[in-house]
Parts: sequence; structure tokens; C-alpha cells
Amino acid sequence: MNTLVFLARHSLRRHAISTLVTALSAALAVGLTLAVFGLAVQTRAAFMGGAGGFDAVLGARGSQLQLVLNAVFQLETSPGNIPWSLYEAVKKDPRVAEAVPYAVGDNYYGFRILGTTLAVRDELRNSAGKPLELEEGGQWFNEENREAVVGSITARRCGLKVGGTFRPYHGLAFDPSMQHEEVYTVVGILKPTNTPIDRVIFIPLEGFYRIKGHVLRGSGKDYVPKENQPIPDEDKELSSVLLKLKSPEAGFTLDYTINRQGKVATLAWPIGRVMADLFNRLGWMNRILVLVAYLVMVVAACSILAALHNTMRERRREFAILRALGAKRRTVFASVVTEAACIAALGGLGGYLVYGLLFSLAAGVVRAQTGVVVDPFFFHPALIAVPIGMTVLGALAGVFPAYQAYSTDVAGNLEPHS
Amino acid sequence: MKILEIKDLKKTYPSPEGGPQTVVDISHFSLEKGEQMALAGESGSGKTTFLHLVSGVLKPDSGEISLDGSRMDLLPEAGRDSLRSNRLGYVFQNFNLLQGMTSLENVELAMRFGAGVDKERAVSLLRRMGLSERLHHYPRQLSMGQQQRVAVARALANRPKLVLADEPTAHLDHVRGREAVTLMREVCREFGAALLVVSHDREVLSHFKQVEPFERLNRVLRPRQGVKS
Repeated sequence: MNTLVFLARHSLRRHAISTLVTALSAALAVGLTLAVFGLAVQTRAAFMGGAGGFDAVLGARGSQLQLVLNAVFQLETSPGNIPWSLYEAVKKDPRVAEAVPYAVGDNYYGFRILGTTLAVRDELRNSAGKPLELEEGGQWFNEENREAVVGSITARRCGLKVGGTFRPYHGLAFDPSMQHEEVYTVVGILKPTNTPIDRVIFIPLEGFYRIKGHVLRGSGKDYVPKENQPIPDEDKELSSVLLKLKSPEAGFTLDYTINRQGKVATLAWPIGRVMADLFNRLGWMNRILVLVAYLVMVVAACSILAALHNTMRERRREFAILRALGAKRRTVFASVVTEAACIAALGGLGGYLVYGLLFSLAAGVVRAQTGVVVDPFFFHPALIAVPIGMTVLGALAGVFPAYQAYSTDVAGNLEPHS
Repeated sequence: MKILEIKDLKKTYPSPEGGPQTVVDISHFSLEKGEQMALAGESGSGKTTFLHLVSGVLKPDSGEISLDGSRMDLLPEAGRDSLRSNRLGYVFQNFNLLQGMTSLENVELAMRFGAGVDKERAVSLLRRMGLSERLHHYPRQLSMGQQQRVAVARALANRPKLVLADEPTAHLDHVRGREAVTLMREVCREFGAALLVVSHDREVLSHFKQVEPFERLNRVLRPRQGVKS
């Protein structure tokens, strides 16, 4: 084995440029494949486990997936609204531990504004499963005032600080012509939660209802909130309610009651299953990406084959010398296979760098678009299997050039002929 | 005691016309342990083919080759490889040093296929060849004379019983050639190895008491043009 490594090392050093270029192609292939695997696993884990500590989402009749994407991941439009009475009923339901209401419909430079209660402070969890924390000097809003608590990404991107003010824009998409008149004061900035919460602004529910231009249809008729007059409960409405259930059995029975017997609302439960369905439906796309990555690895292996094959003619004398010194055919064969495997293994190591780079770029995009954090150092078996697979592929690619070396005519390639 | 004995050795190649063409046909040849002999012959006389047969690089069509008591002609290729690496040293006309390896690594390389790497011995061999300052130099950084000395050190790496040298001074001037042959004879004597040199250079041949004309040994009367030898 020492001799094989010795021979491979010298040959790689002698053909350093070709070795580096070929190893680079293997590194790109390995990095790409690792990134595809890593992002798929991490994104799935982040989205399936990113419910912020809640078990279910209650919303208007429609798609469960749309409901979850809208309420939990702040990605989709709301499928519609539900009356306040439903929220009250669910909140009092003995199967429900906690209920947090959300009302959406405004934004600030594209970042969603969520009207909610202080229950959000007590019930929502960050990616580590811990309660939300505010940056130094901040506090939660007073439900009677026009105050706001801002997610970390929103604060950074919009330049919002404690004591600062802003005026919301109507709708979920930013339209400069749709700015409301009401001025909100930032009273707290959330520490990063590594969840979609980092991209929102929380304001009191009552304040949300009272923004001019908002029309409530909880009772079935249009109702515009009036100053200094309480809003009747029957006119209030919500986009969704996040629920913590007392037990899994509660989920089954609520699912039956709301989804099968009822006609007004939809219960998305459990949230992880709803997201898993999405990922399963999109699984074909991931499989295509993996297939492309595998193909790139095969192409990289072919480039190793080509690089070695191209040097075989000039190296015939070298192999003849080795044989004349006593090297057996199988030693020469194995030395070329080892050389190919070493190039691929170098690529495998370099692949970690490429993976780190690609993953960081992709993680930045995912974070910016969804608030979800994916961790490049999260272990998954592909991190070991792919570089090993590349090394094996490289060794296989070396078999043909190795056979050429194996077949070298010793006497015919030892100069001189006398 | 004989270190090399050859009987009825024949090697035939296909001729350009398609028929067989005998290149080596030797009825008997032997070399005693520690003996030093030169074979004199012109280019194309089949000397290199003869050395390849002796070293086991080529397999004879017929005949016997006994090297240090082992029948080289009866061994399979892997067996001939082992015998060659352990009992033979080979100095090629072009030295055939591996360009990507230093002097020391070239000597160690031969050891890897034989008795195993012995760095101390490799260094001491190169020192004996006057290359103390050139251990870590690559062949391209050495003069032809120095490369030749590395080749001799490599040939002696595995304590061979017999050293074969094919036109060892072909790339050296007269002075360097004379020095090289003298050194080669000295070290072979010191290390107890027999030496068989083939050359057409009269200067080289003049160093040996025993000089055998290869044409007389080889029953093929004339060298043939275009024959691989």
C-alpha cells in the first residue's frame, strides 16, 4: 500500500496542473451534490419543524397547505377570514390549550404586519423551542396603543429601531400608493428566532382593526370600526388562529369536527404533516436535482479518466521502468487506480469547500426569503457518503488507464534498442 | 559456483515479412559468482534482447536460464518480476531514472519492489557513488555522469547477485565513461555482485579481462535490419 501511495503521490506531483484541474471538477461535483442533499434535508427539517411550538392552524375553508404557509411561514395569501366567534369557541374548547389569533392584510415595505394579542409573546417559540426574547431596551406592545414589535430581519432591513415610527401599507405586497395614515411606534425588536417570525411586525389586534380603510365582515355585513366605539365581537374577524392542543387525540377529534362535519373553517393539523405532504409532492423535483448532481459526479469521473488516459502514452516508459525494476503488473495497475482515487479524494475534500460556499449562498437566500435558517454544519450521511462515492467513482474511472499501464510492453518501451 | 547459466536459449520475433526471425540463439553461456565479463557487439546484434531474457523482462521461446539456481525460464511473469527485483540489478543505456523522483527516491523505489525500503543503505550507496550532495536532486538537475552513478546505486539497491549493464557509457565522454566503468566494477566487487556488461565501445571493453564477442556467442550470424532487439 505504501508503494502505491508513493507512486501515486509522485505522479500527482509530476502532473500537478492536470491533477488540480481534474480534482477541481470533482470538487465542484461533490460540492454540488452535497449542497443538493444538504439543502433538501435542511429545508425539509426547517419547514416541517418550524411551527413555532404550535400544533395546528385554524382558518377559512380552503387548502390546509395555504393556511399553514400563510399563518406559519408568512408566504401565501390568506384563504379568507373566519369570524371572531369561532376563535372564541375554539379558545374555550377543552381540547385546546392555547389559541393565538392572527389578522393579516398590511405590510411595511413587503414585510407582513400581524395583528395579534399578547398571547403571541407567551406562546410563540423560536427555532430552539424557547420563548421569544426582545433586544435590550425593548418591551411588548400595549394592546391599547399603536405600538409594534418588530422581527430581527424586518428591523435590520427597514432600519426600524426602538422609539422609531412607521406607517403601514395596505395589502400583503408593497405598493407605495397604499400607505395608511396611522403611525405606529416601535417599542421592541425581537432577537433572531431563525424562523419566519424574523420577517414580520406584530401590532395589537385592536389597532389592526382600527386602521382606516379596513372593513370587517365578521357578521357577514361590512363594518368599518368607529373611533371611541368598541368593535362588536360579531363584526370582528381573523385570518387564522394558531393552536396548541392538549393531546394528539384532541387533534383527531378537532380534525373530524371542523374538517368533516363543519363547513365554515379548515383545521390544518398536524402542521408537520401538512408540510411533509408538500415536500412529498415536490419530491420529484428533488429527485431530478439529485440525478443531475449524480450525473455531474459521473462527468467528473470521466474527466479523471480522460486526464489519465491522455498521459498514458507519455508514461509508457515510466511503467516499463517500474516493471524492469521488478514491479508486478498488478502493482502498476493498482498504482494508476490509486492515483485516480487520490484525484477524486482530493476533489472530495475540495468538495466540502464548494459545499460550504454553495450552502452559504443558498442559506442566505432561504433566510432572506423565508426567515428560516438552514445550518451547513448539520450532519447528514451524504456528507460522508458523497465524497466516498466520488472516490470510488474516481477509482473506477482509473481502471481503463490502469489496464493500459498494465498492458505496457516492457521491452518495447525501455530505451534504447541496440 | 555459477550465478548465471544459459543453455540453448532462443528468442524469435515475427519478421516484417510475416515469418519468424530469430534474434537470439545461444547454445551455452555462464557466469561465475562475482565474475565480471563484457560482451562485445555492434548495435542490432541482439545484445539488449539477450539482457532482457536474462533479466526475465522477456520470456524465451526455448532454452534454459538459471539465475542463482532459479530457473527463470520456468517462472510465470510475476515470479520473474520477483527474481529480477531481488537478485538482479540493471543499468540501462539511458539510465531510465524516474524524472519525478530524487536520486534517493529512485534508489528507494527499487528497494520497494525488492527487499524493502532501507533509507540508510540507499543513502550510503549514493554516498559511495560520490553523490552525498545530490541525494535530493532530481535527474534533470544532475549531469549525465551523476545520473549514471544514481542508476548504478539503484542497480545495487537490493543486494543483487548479478548486475547487468547495457551500453553503460553511451551518453558519457571518454573520461567520464572510463570513470563510470571503473566505479561500476569497484562497487560490484565490493558488494559481491557479478557484472555483465554489453557494449560496442572499445574503451569500455578494454577494462575487462574477459571480453566475449557477442556475434560468436549468438548463433544468429548477422544482425537484421528492422528487428526489434
